[in-house]
Amino acid sequence: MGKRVLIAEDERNIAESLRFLLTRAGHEVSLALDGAEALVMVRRMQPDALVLDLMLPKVSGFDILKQLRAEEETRTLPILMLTAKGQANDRQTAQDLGVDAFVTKPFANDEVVAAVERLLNGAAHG
Amino acid sequence: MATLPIGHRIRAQRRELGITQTALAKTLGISVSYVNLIEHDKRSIGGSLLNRLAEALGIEPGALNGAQERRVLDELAEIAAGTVEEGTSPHPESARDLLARHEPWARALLSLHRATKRDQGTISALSNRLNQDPVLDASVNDMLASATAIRSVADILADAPDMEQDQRARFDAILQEEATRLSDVAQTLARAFEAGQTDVSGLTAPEEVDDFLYRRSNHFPALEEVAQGLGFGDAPDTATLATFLEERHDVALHRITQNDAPRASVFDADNRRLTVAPSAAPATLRFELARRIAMLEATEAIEAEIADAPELTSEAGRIRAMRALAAYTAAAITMPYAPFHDAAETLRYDIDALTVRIGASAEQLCHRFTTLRRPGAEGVPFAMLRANAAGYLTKRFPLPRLPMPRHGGACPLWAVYSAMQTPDLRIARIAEFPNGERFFMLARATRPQASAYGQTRPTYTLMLACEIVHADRLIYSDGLDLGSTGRADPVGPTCLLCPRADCAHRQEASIRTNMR
Repeated sequence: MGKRVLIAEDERNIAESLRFLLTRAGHEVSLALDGAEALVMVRRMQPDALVLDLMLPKVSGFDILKQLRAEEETRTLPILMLTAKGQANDRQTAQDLGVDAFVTKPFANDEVVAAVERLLNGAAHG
Repeated sequence: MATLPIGHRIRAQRRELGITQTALAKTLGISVSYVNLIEHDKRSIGGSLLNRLAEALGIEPGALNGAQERRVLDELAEIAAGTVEEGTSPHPESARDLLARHEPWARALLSLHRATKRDQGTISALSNRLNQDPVLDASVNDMLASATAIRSVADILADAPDMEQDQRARFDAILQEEATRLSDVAQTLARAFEAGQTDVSGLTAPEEVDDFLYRRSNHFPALEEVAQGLGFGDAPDTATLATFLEERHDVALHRITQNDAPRASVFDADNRRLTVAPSAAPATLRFELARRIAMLEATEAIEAEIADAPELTSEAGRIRAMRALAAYTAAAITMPYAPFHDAAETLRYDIDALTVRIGASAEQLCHRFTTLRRPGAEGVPFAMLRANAAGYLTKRFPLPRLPMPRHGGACPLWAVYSAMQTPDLRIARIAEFPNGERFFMLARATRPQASAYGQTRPTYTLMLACEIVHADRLIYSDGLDLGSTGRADPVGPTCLLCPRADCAHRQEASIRTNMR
């Protein structure tokens, strides 16, 4: 069943491959290449899940997380955060701020697709 | 008065001139045995005898005033105090003997000590550099991005043989592009590391303990459990703790009227007596009682925590860690986790309001803030610093992204130093580091209460710092623009590591320039 997924990732090549993977999985995928754009698009298109890179220009992944969790419409939006290896502290911060799941870069394709599917099926969020 | 060991210099000069003790004694009009006593530092000399002696040996009287020896002795004392395991520190008097009898050895020790200090500075600078250097930071990010794209695209190409031609060409181009980028990054990294790798294990006992607490996130669930198991409830008062000590451990609280002891409390195990300094504030008294209870009740739990800690390599480090964990447990007793975390979040870390509600000192509260890392009930992750009036950092608990210097001072623009200029006033600042990361810094300088006329009360400053993303949970950030475009003070880590070439406050050159 196709769902709407927003990918917020400033690395074009990573974004492109994520779009390919999630489109192939049957979803309707949109891209945001910086944090400000991501916030606008989340509010406009109301996606079923957000794949959020931590290090985004303009508005950081943390700030986006925080703003989305503070707003009624997006409080329960499933969010998958892309973090880098060795950033245990970032994971902790993201968890404090209410992220639903993580995938660590460099990720395996199956891993990231499976994580998105889990979020869309509501497994990670109560 | 203890004499300064100048005898060796007199003896050396006399021999240099080929004068016998007898001849010198005759010139000075004193006995040979007296000359011998002077040369072995058994007699201190001054006044006209010193002048005549200097004249007879053809040296400046000022050269025999012991100033040089004083400096050597001071540095030897520093070595004794700083780098030797506790319990085996050489006695200060032996430094005099060393200098008097084996001056070249004393000087060799000093140059070794200076070299060690210099190297320690470089080592800690290099290790901090790994966390702070914008070039390394950017390189690692680039490398991860490239690796991610390459891995993902390569997998896509491998398992989609029937992909459209255009799409396949696009992914091929991505692979090419990212492979080039990765090799550029690798070269940049290789250049940055040309200066060599650095081992950064803890060097002194305090540093071992710093590392230990840091790696454990300064949170010890087992000790929280012991504290809670004592059944004191949410806010045990002084009387409750004193009664507990008396009834359970037969320890009596003793408050004296005069005291020159530098420590807040002294425990006499033989007489089961805890003596607390008259200057101890009510919060300190309560904490000292809790600390003693921790040492009696939580010994096993504390020993279990440090038993396998790889950071604690020296005996001195383990002893120091035991003390730190006893203080931790004392905080868990006087400020139990759940109600404290609740109060802190509700009052938005308002230190004055919490002081009133909980009856703890500002320093106790700040310490406790740094321990609020229980999964599911985390407080704001704080770094903490305490600096004395000389600017020396006397306590440090860092955050992963906010490394704190181990030697010397931090950047003079940090709030911990500006607060020194306005005692008792809380200074709240947003600090931006050269890599663009922002931290909220909150500092206040305090003068402790004196208990008698004439007592020195050196000002010290406490600073808390947190990542900017958490700052809105603190009452002190109200009215400040916490957004990424808001005003922030440009600061650095330490001058040694700071790339801000045009900073007016630079004290020393950055090592970053000569390491590229």
